[in-house]
Parts: sequence; structure tokens; C-alpha cells
Amino acid sequence: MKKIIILLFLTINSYAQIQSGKIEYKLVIGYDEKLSNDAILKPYLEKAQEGAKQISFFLSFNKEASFFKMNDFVKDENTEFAKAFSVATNSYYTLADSEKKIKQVDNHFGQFIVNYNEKTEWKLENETKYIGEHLCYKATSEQIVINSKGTFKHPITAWYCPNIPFRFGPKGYTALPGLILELQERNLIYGAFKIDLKKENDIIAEPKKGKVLTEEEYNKIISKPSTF
Amino acid sequence: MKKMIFSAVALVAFSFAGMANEVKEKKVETKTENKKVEKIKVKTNCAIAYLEDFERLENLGLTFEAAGAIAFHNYQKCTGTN
Repeated sequence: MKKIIILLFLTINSYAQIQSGKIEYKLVIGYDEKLSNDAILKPYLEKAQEGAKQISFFLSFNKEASFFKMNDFVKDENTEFAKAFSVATNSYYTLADSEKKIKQVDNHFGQFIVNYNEKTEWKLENETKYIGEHLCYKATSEQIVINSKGTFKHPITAWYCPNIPFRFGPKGYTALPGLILELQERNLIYGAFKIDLKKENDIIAEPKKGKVLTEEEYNKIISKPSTF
Repeated sequence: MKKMIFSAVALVAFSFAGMANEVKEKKVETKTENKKVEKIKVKTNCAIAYLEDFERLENLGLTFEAAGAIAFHNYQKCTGTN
């Protein structure tokens, strides 16, 4: 019993020494009933599902901030569909002790720095699973989408790991008592496949490239279809 | 006299050549115009498809960003500009 307690203490202590890290996530685009039942959109989804196999992201973090961005990849029709479905051209900068977030956008409307506030209402569940050597807990929430057709709610599931004591995750999701190693938002799944934890403190720079906008200003731009 | 005849023949020859060039230029102009009209037609059809895709995706609960990105990618594919 003593040995177990000592081992547990040593494990917790070794994770407590972590100052920064980098997690790499694979993208999986799963089945979606509504999209699959639409004869025109179904082939787009199938191409995106295939293309997603080539797309990955990284999350760099330290005690104060995190930055989530897509890795470079070889372009083809499928990967372009996957990029579009997952809006993978957006990067996210978040702070540990604030709801203030930054979304760096690079799309057909231009390059923008979008300042926004977001607080996800997480429901902590009892379910657990191991991701690599890390014991993770399930948390759920809802993504609320408001577009010109109405309000839609999609499920969000996060698997966070308290033994990596950082309140960050993919796509700007934060505020869970441990790093998110797996996140599902509707049919988009971000799963950690490489975990690099460091005792040194890496600097996480705030993104600066792009026209600075509020969320309202940005939504006004993107809510209108492009004019050609 | 010989010189005069030679000059007259040369003049006639050059004017025919000039006329031939004019016909060629007109043909090229018409072809360019046709191509422009064709391009506009393709662009218009692709833009209509873009709007239809955008609306269809919004109806299924996608965000403005995702709907726009998917529809725009398809537009680029349609116009051959991606």
C-alpha cells in the first residue's frame, strides 16, 4: 500500500513539474445523418472524410496561454473539403485565467484577428477512459449554432485528463480541470496522437496577423454569401 | 516601266495580305468574345450553385463559416480557379 501511495505521489509530482507542452491531434470526420441523407452534400462529406486522414493540428501551451493551429499538409480535392468542413484554417489563442479568446482567421473573406468571449457550460460525467497512459474523464456540452435558418444545437464531448493540469483544448475549448486529449464537436473528432510535455517554459505568442475585429463585426462579414 | 509593274504587283500583293490579316483579326476577336461570354456563363452558374450550397448547408445547421468554406471550395472547383 505504501509503495502504491509513493508511486502515485511521484507520478502526480512529475506531472506538476510540467511547464509547457505540445499535443498533436488527428482529425476524423465522422458520420452525420443529416449530411449523409442529402444527395448533393453526401459526396462532399465522403471526400472530406477521406481528406481528413491527411489533416492534423497542434496545441502548444504553457501555464498562461495556448495556441491551436492546423499543421501543413499536401493539398488535394479531398483535403480541401476536409479543411472546409472543419474550418481548419482558423487558429485559436486562449488564456488560462480569462474567457477572452482570439480566433485567427484566414479564409476567402480575408485575414482577421477576431476577439471573442466564450464560456462553455461543461457537464462533468463519471465515465473514464485511457488515452495513452493518461486517465481521462468525460465532459459534455452543446455547440449552439445560430445562422440565417435558425438555431441549431450539436453535441460536444470532451475527454480531459486531470493528470495534465492545464485548462486548454482543441479549437479554443477551455475551462476543464485537465487538458482535453479528445474532442468531438458534432461529427468532427480531434484525437491526440502525440503528447510532448516539457519541464521548460515555452513562450506562446499571441497571433497578430490580420485585421482586428470583434465577433459581431466578423459575423456580419461572413453571414453574407460571397459576391463574385 | 518594269519597276512600275513590279511596284503595282507588290502593292496588290500587300493589300491582299493586309485584308487577310484583317479577317484573321476579326475571327480572333469573335473567338475572344465567345470565350468571355462562356466564362461569364460558367461563373454565373457556379455562383448560383454556391448560393444553393450555402443555403443547403445552413439548413442542416452548419455555421456561417463552415457553410461558406464548403460552398466556396465548390465554387472554386466549378470555375477551375482552385
